[in-house]
Amino acid sequence: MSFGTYLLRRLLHIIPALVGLSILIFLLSRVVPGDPARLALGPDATAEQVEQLRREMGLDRPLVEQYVRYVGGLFRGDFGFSLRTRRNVAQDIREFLPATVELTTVAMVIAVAVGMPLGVLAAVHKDRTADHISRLLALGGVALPRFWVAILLQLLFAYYLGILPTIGRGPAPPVRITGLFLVDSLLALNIPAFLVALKHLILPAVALSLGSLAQIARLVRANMIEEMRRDYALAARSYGLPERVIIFKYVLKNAFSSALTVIGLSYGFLLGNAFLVETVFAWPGLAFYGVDSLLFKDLNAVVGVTIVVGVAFAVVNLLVDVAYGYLDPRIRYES
Amino acid sequence: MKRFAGVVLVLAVLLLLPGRGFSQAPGTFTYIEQQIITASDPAAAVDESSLIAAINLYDPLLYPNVEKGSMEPRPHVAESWTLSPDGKVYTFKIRRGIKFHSGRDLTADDVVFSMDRALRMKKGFSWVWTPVLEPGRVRAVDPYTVRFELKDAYAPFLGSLLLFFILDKDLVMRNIRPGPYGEFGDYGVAFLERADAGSGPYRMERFDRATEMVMARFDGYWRGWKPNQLSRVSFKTVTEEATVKTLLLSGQADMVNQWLTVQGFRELRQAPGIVVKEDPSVQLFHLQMNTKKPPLDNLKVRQAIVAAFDYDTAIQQIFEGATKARGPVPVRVPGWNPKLPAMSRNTAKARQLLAESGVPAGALSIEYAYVVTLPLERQIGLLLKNNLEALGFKVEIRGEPWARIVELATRAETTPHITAIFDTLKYPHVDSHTYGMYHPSCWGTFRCMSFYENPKVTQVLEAARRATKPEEQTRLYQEAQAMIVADAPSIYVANPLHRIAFRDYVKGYRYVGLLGFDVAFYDFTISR
Repeated sequence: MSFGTYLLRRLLHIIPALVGLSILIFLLSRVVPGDPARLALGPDATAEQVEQLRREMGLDRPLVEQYVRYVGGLFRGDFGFSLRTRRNVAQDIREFLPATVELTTVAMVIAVAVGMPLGVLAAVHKDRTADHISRLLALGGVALPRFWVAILLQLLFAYYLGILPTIGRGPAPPVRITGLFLVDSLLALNIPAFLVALKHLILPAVALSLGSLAQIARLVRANMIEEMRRDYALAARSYGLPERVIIFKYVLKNAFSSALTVIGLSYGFLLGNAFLVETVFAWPGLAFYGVDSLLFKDLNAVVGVTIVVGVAFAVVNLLVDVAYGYLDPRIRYES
Repeated sequence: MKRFAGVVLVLAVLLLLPGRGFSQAPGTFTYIEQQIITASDPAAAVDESSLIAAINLYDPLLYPNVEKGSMEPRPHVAESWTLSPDGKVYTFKIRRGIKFHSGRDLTADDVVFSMDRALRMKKGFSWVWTPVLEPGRVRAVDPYTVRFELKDAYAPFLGSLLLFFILDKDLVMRNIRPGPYGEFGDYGVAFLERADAGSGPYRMERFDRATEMVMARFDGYWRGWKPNQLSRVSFKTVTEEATVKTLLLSGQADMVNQWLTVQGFRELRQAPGIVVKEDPSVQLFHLQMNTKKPPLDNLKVRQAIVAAFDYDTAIQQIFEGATKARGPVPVRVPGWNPKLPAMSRNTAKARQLLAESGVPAGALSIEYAYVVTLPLERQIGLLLKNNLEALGFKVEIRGEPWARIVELATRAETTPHITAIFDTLKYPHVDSHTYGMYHPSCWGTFRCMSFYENPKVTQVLEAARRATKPEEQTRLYQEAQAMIVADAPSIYVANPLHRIAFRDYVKGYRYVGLLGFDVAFYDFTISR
């Protein structure tokens, strides 16, 4: 199978997944308890006010009709009206998504940049001090609740030391191009703005990265140990290749491929689950918006956020599949 | 490799150098609220954060008498008013010289426009006016006189005008988009997302819904400015309590909202440079009993439960300070009935009432529902369970999300036996906690989960609303309160304390009881 066909087949797989997701979340959001119109208008609203809003939202129509109208709207870029923010959900998503994408991306960069060397170090020094320290860090990363770590980081670096900001993304760069402050400030060649944005990102990104960092470190360690026992590693050693070359050029490449899956899954997972970290750092992201919408039964917002996160998840995993297929052609042929 | 390490090192040093990018901007007052500003349009504002925005950006027709610590209305945009003998026609004189932020004069036309807009949009507090007003019943007699022609006399009307904010008609109409209100399009709803159309002391400089509204002083404000008043305000949204406390303690915030936990305020009180101000609030915490659901449809059973509850433990140990409630109306509200007794636990009386009820022990099974995110309500539930099980009740405690409670409240059959409710004054009048909670017209909402019905009380409440003389209104509302308490539709537990925390250099804060009106930035000064 050619690489193009492989890619096309992967793309086609996404469509039924997204249709299924949209039906599921649309139905679920409508059967959970609580009248969205009453919640939006406040508990003191009269029955007449509630009815008027229900009509305006189309909630008085059959479920199938509501779904068809909603999907029709999606194709026009209309995600419906948010009861909480009183504007189109598409506009809300445009505002909140870049903050979460930026936070999650930086968190994943930290997770990979620290997790991978940690895993290699642990594997190379198996059952020695470095391995024990790496295990301890990994265990901590998985076991410590993110919000608790976030509060501790905030107290230490923002309150006691006063070297990093407590909340928010900082002032927006003068020109909005992508909505990602780091990228926009770099495009504008505004280095002070870049540094301010980076300072605001450090604490939330570190807090968010810990779980993935630990997973990557442990996975790389286990795979490295397995790969280092294989014949090709032994043969390389017999040829007298330096250990550094064997590890970084041959063993790590093979050991990394399964970590790639974890990275893809983690990225998609963090996009929708950065809620606690976003709450602690008052980070105006999509995860916070999604949970807030869920609590107030803001139907269109809940469905909109879920679909966007679903699409992001599918795209990231597609990229991982593509990377897999590229790195290891056997996967393409097996498909 | 070494070059890369060098770059990383330089970047790390640059990042860890203390910078001003995250500190408070000089001359900016920072206020933290834990809920987002859901509505920047004053006609849609109902929650605290939205009302604070409205109060600072717009002027209401009347204003609470904060100078006297009272919520009674005093002149503001309207400098005087008269009422017809039948109580149906209010005529207001509009103050001259009030400028909108656009520079235009505020006139009677703007008042008419703003009320018609509120009535057509049916959002926010419009439900307070819809019983007696509809578009067209408010008319401009001349540029500075406006007349409200009510369908009927309506006791809470004057007080409700504290929640009626005036918009710049020309500015709004110049910025309408297509929408559901016919010739008025969207009535400027989209425009008011990014700008204000008010005449208040501050104008909106920036609004990012999820994080911050920045307001700057309006130099042309009609009440003028004195030294040390706030010139710029950053109104930030931060939901996490630990973060809110850190911001105040570190001086990155000047004032934080009332929604911190009792424990949170206790911690702040111990910190140097922080003031925690406590006032008896106009909130009622009560346990509503569903009078349509057996065994609570039996008056004696309800009275037994009222007698069995341990009020003192609730006030001292769970609320850590509060005023004991005396009936449905918070004791701070004008028109509250001072003859109503404060309740105390009386187990012997409870046993006697239960015996008189004739309900067999096997039928004394009830469920208690509370808002699952409020641990205090769960503690109250455990106390109630303890008190009632000593009498032979079986009590099941159930936490529900707020959305579910609102849903359950729509019908008597789905409403739990007992539900814990915090209910604040909706408009500055005793009517809010009498007619608004015990007239059958309110059934179906969380405020009326007792489904209380007593034709005599209904009659008195309707007469009170129609009464034209204040003393007659008071007499009737107080009579209704006494009758309601005798029917025991609720366990009236507490009027909790209102708490708020700020840095000690902030002066001028005063609590008046009306949601949001205590955070009028115009009243604050900085004195270091």
